Amino acid sequence: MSLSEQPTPELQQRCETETQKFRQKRPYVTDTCFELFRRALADGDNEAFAAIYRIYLPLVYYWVSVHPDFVYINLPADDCVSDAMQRLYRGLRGGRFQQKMSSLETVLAYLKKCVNSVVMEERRRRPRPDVELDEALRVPRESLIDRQLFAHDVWERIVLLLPDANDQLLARLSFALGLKPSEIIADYGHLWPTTEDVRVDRQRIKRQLERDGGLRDLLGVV
Amino acid sequence: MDNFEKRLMAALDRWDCPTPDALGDYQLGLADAEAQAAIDKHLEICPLCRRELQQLEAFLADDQAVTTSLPPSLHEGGFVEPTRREAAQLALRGDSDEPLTFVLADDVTLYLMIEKMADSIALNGQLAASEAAEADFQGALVEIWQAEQLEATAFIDEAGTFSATLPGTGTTLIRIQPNQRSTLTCRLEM
Repeated sequence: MSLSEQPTPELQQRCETETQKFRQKRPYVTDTCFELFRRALADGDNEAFAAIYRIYLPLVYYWVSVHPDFVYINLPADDCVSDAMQRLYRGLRGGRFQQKMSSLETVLAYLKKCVNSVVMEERRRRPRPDVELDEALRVPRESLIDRQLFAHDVWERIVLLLPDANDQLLARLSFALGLKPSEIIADYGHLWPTTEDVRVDRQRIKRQLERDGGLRDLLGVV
Repeated sequence: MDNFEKRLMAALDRWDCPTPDALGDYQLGLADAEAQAAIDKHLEICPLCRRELQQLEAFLADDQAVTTSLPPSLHEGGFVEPTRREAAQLALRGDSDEPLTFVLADDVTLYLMIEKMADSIALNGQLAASEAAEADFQGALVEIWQAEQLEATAFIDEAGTFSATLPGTGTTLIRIQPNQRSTLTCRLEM
């Protein structure tokens, strides 16, 4: 009987056996687990999806718990696991599985990427504690697209006000990325050799931007 | 930091950085040519994205031994129970055709029909969400747990429905993982 003809419960059992061998550093084969993923994602087989979820839950949970930024986010690990599994499904369902995945290794790398995405998206939502951006000051926008369009308008205005490329770069590093002077000179010491150089230019740029009525209107600053 | 600077930073906060998911596709060689070129260009001017990419590369490469233990927190706290009126109408013990109702959030209600088959239990769910919330639940993952075992998974379709088959009765946890929202969990006794 070929792999594709085997009933899912049997496939699950064989995949569990091979996964155990892998953990024990014994020789193992990957085709049963890959077939289970294929059924779950390419065929949309819910029974197969539940099977891979059960088998890989400990691994995904482990990845979440050891992710370097997990300690900074306020989400339970099991929620992160669920989110990662869902992203796996969304990202690889149907034809996308056949297009993008060629082996169990590539599927597991993709799943691990999903874990990273869950953690890092949440991490990015949380501002740096030293910057203390007040949520009340965030310009309310209904959707991500609205926020991006608004940011684009603000940035376009800044580019007009700062024709110099280095000034634009410093504005991006300081205001879009929130980098401290010490962080800026770490990557751009050839442009700003000392933190004092960064501070002086940053202050000058900020005064220039602050004087512009158009930008102040956009930001809602009186 | 004054008001102007705070507003400026709030408006521009990583506004044109690729998402972590897009960076992940880029790292795995799954980004299309256009996306790859855009990210290549962005990385030239963004130390934060460069750092995230380096961290991702190290994370993907790390293949240390894994634990085999299951997540411990799954069954702790924070469940929605069926509304009192329907709690007595557990479909297996009564002869009511009314679905169980779970108010999962201000804008989301779950209706659950349970049917006992010869050797299994059929679960049919219908999610009713506000227009604004609907998109969050399409394709959402549904996990159904009994006795700390994942018994079934399903995905919510465009009509807001899902179905699953369970081997038996008992305390049942249903977790729904929507897009861009917190996980919702409800519990019932069958």
